[in-house]
This record gives sequence, structure tokens and C-alpha cells, in this order.
Amino acid sequence: MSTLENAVSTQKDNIEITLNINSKEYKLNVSPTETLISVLRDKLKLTGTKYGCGEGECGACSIIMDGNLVNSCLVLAVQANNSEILTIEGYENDELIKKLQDAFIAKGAVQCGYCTPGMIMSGRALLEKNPCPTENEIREAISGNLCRCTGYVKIVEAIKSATE
Amino acid sequence: MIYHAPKTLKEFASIASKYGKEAAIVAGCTDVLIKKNFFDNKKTVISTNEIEEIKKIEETEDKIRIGAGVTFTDLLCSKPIKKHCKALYEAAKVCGSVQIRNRATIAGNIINASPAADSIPPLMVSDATLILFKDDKEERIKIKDFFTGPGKTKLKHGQIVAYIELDKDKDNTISFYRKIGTRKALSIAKASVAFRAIKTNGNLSSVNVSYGSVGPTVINSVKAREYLENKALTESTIEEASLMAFGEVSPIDDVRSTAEYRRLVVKNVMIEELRPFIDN
Repeated sequence: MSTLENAVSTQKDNIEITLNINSKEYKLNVSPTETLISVLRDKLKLTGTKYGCGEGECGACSIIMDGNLVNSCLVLAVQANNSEILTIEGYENDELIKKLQDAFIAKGAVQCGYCTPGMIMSGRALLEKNPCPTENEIREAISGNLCRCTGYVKIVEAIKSATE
Repeated sequence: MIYHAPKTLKEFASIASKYGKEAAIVAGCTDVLIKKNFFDNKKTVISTNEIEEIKKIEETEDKIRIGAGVTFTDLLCSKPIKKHCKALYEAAKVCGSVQIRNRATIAGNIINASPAADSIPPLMVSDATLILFKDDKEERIKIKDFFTGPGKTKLKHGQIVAYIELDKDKDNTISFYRKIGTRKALSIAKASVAFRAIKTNGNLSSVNVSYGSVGPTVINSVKAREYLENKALTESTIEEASLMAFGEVSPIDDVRSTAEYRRLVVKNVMIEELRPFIDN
């Protein structure tokens, strides 16, 4: 079953786009109404990015596009043409993601894990702009991400410890 | 379905007028991708994201001109907005989440015409003018005259909101924007209030008040505004103005809140936010 069960997915893939995802170039065809998350998960099988609410409330699908944190469920794939995208799968070549991953494991900031890729991308976007954030700044940075298991204390601690 | 990403307003106008109501016009997409039927019966998607001329914030002596494609993050990063459009800056801070603010545009927030939109109350109290374009023809309309109902505006097919122009705050301008919601980020307002006035020797002039989420559109105050004009802020004038606010909003019960609570919130926000401006 497709990630996004909307009617628009039946449209023709008539536009060629180029995406640079985690430093690798992809050329593929998309329809004008297809979302970026559907391209990442269904077409490219980059399933580390999670599909949650599909309306920008939960942040599970957060990725970094041209340096900005975005909900990939609310971006049209065509609008991402020629952009540089960083997803959780980019951890191998990204110091900050690696640090955050280690910190999440060390602090036990993962329970079911569904929100974790989005949380780490939000942390990554924060730390790039602000290497020494305060607790309030961390909480603000992840306020667009929902966790329904552990609560936020350990997640905040993990992001904090990734800066040390 | 075809996709267009014009680079100029002129190019946009020619594509948009060709398709008329069969065009789905999109910018940041944070609202339209949630609407299930947005792309139904459309022949083209026109993205305004590549029109560079509408991504700027320009400053003249007494006005600020904001391009339609300016995002909420752009507003927060703009020194002129922080300095001269305080109520709008406050609204940008509490709009959506980091992710949403990075994509959502100011014109998108306006055209979506939600009575709960964060940018509309501060633009109303700043007496903003929308500059619309269609077929190379410019039209100006005050934002307070733009909305006709929830999700409904006077925008015509093929027409675009290109710029938003508003008066700069003066040194003696006092203002606030306050939203009451259920969650820190991403909350859709249960109620919101924007206020702006000039305070000279203790007395208010050019008073404007507007209320969000308490009617079919954002409501522009008449009673509270007229009452406060030429008055000084005291405990009793604030109390009186807050009761007028309580009386002039027309909220409903819905999933987010009750009419009763919304009225009370508007009244209490007026008191809480105006009190710090009382002269000792």
C-alpha cells in the first residue's frame, strides 16, 4: 500500500526532477501533486523518514531541504527539484547526525522509535545554526515534533549532550 | 495535469489567466496539501515559489512592503519587521512550527482566509493594503475589506496577492498579538487578539483592535476601538474596553473550544495585555 492514499497518486508521472539526497543524485519522474515523502519512501525506498499524520502536526517526516527543516509530507516533490536534501539515512556522512544518534542511544531517548528520525533531523537543524543551545531553545526546536511514548525529557537531554 | 513554475509576476499572470479557475495556485503548500479536494478538476499546478521579485521585504520612510512569497521564517529573520511591525513579528513567532514557518508564506496565510490565521489580525491592526495583480493590472484593497467568509476572499481567478503594504510602527506605537491555543507549537487559535495604537501624552489615538477565531472571518473591532480613542489607559478604561470586546465577538462552539470560553479569553487577554501600558 502506498504511503499516501490520496486520489492524486493516480496521476501521470510527467515531470522529471533531480534531487540530491544525502550527497547522491537521483533523477526521477513525478506527478505535479506528488509529495516529497511519497517520493522518498515509495519511489526511493528511503523509509527512515516516517509518515505520521500527513498534515504537518507530528513532525515524523521532518527532513532538511536546502538547509531548512521541513515536513516532507507538506512539500510537493516538483517544488523540491534541484534541492539538496538530508534525511536520516545521511548519518554516515554527517557528523552532527552521528553525534545525535549516539546521544539518543546513550540517553535512552528512544522507545518505540517512530518519532526518532524526525526528532534527530530537528536536532540537526538546530545544532547547525546554534551549536550551544539552551534547554528552552532545544524545546522550541523540537516543538513541531510529537513523541507519544517517552515524553520529551530524555530527548532534550540527548540533544543537549550531543553538544558537549 | 501540467506543472508551471513562472519566474516573474508577468509570466505568472499570463499562465494564470490562460487557465483561470482550472489552475491550482500554490506556494509553501502547508495549507493546500491538507485540503483533500484542492487539486480536483484542475488542469495545472502553478507554483509561485520561483518568483524572486515577491520574496523581498522592502522598507520606505513610513511603510513596509512584504512580498507574497516571504515565509514566516523570513519575517522572524527580518530586522525591519522586528523593529517596525511588532504585532506581526509576535504572530510570526507563534505561527505553526519551525518546519511550517520555513515553508508557509504570508500571502498563503492570507488567501487561505482562515478566521484563525495568525498573520491576519496583526495586518488588520496595521491597516495593511494588499496589492493584487492580474493580467499586468494592479489593484489595491484594504485587508479589512478582503474577506467574505471562512476560506473566502475577493480574490479573482488568475489574480495573485503580490505584495502586502503596512504602516510602520512609530516610536510611540503600542501593540500586541496574543494567541490562546492548546499546544505550544502548531496550535490553531482558540482565540487571538491583535492591538495597535499610538500613545501620546498618555492618550491613545489611531486605535485598532482585531479578533481571530471568534467569527466567520477575523473581526475588526468597532466598539472597543472607538471607545479607547482619545482615552488614557487606566484600570477602568481597560475593563470597559474588555467588556466591549466580550460583546462584539461572535464565536461558535467547535472542536477547539466553546463560544463561552472564547469570549472570556478575548476579554481577559485585553486586560492582561493592556495593563502593562498603564502609566504609573
